[in-house]
Amino acid sequence: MITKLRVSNFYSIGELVELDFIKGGKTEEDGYFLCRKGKVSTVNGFFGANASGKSTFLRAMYVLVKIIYNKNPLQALGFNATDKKFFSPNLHSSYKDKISHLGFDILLANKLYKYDVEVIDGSQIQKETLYVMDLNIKSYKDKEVFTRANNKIEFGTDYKNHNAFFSVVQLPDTQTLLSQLIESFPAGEDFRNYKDKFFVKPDDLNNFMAPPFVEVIQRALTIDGQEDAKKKKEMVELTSKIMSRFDKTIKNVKINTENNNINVTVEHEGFYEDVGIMRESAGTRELFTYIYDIVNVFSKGGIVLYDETNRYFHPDIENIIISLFKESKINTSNAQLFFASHNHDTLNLLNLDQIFIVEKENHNSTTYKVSDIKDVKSRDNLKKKYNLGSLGGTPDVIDFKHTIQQFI
Amino acid sequence: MKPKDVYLVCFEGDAEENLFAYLKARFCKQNKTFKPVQLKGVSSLTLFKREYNKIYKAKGLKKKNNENIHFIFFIDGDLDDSPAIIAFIESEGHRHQVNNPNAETVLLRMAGINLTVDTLLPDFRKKSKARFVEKFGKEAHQMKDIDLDKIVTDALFKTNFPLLCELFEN
Repeated sequence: MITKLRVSNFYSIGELVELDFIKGGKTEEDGYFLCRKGKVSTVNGFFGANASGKSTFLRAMYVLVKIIYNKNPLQALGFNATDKKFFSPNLHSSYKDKISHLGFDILLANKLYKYDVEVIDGSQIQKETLYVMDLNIKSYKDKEVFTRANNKIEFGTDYKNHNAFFSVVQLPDTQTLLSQLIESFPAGEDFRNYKDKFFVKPDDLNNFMAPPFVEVIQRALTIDGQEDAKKKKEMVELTSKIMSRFDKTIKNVKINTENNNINVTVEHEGFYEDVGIMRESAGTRELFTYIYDIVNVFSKGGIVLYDETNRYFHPDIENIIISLFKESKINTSNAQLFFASHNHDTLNLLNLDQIFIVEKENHNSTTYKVSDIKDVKSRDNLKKKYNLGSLGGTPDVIDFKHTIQQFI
Repeated sequence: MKPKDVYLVCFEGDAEENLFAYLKARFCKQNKTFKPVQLKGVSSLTLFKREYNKIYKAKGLKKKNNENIHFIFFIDGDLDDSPAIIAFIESEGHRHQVNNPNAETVLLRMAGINLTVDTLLPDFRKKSKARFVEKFGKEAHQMKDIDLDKIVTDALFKTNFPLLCELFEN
């Protein structure tokens, strides 16, 4: 579970922003799970005007996941060989030549890992550090796992034996050390065990890529890269049932994976032939693509990054999906959702510290929690307060309408 | 942190909204949050009060404890109940920018045409609108930036819209 995020000089983010997804307290509360450091939020929403940078915060997490789990981040992020950067730094001249910082605190196996990476020009890793705090130990404190800086790698006391290997291996500056450790080293074990628990909507978070439809289904159908018949049966049953509640004429979903091709068709009651999934409505496609992952994350745990949850769903459906992450009886494995939405109804589902308002000013996206705003109470109608503008993060509709009128 | 200051700008009609948007785009140097509210052409005090109360309900506002919410009324001075409406706005503790006697006449005056109120207000409204169309070839709400640029100068803005000038500059 991600408890903190640190980002600077990353797309529209300029100055360092540090976000907390954890708060103090020891009493149980829906929408949080307890750890020794406090209460970790299971649902976190980003709200703001168009182009304010909401998706950028999700994208920062997405890039972090990709660079720590892939030896070739460029490829993993869908860039082709001619691309050199795996993300763009803030292109405003005031940030030129500044280093980008990405980092998070993540709770894995009751250990709190603090991972940070500094990148030059979106392409060269200059510094990388990993610390761990074992919350199983009574007097826990930060311990160094490794520090990589100026082409030198030093492991902390518990992993000194890794030094011998890395004294002779030269990592390319586009590859994270953690991606190497995750492959087979003890220092990467907890990350390795968590590898299949990040669920993202990469089409939104990385719009340079082709639609992820096939990629998502492939992941849903495979275990360790091998097609799994049980998973396929499960997915067909689950998607058929849920989709038939969405569109009452849907009888069955058929997934054909012969000859290394994935072909999904939908059987409708009374139709003389099945319908290809790409001919279904946008909402039905969205539901089919992600509902299996979402349902599974409740039982198996994991992190879901979901940009624009409002895009294809009716607000009532969106609200249900988000609220499921809050319900401790359903979200039994403490799955965590980070989402961005323009549906203000979802504001009232969240606690004040779970709402992040994103604003862009002077070429710099920043964010703050609604709980940081004086005099806002949890019993307030947050949707109305937000629409009114007193929480910030709303577009300038006067300017927008006025500009359009100039062309009419 | 404090809640954001929000300026609820209540327009009597489309001409006022269009004019405000133009003035804001040209003169506002501050990053302030202005939210538009349409009063839908209210003319009597009764209708005005009804719309005014609706704003509170629609925005989820209470009559007290709205320190960060500032009502600005951008209205014409030739409404049937203008003096009573203005008195009511002031009694509620809000501020107003009144176009005297209306937006059309103010813009015409800026363009060098001074109309005098020599008839009853309803007739004058018709007269000023007709004169406006005669001069500019379109109604006030259809004026574009390129048209307004020709008649609104920095000095005229300061003279004719003192409240907006204060809001946009401070």
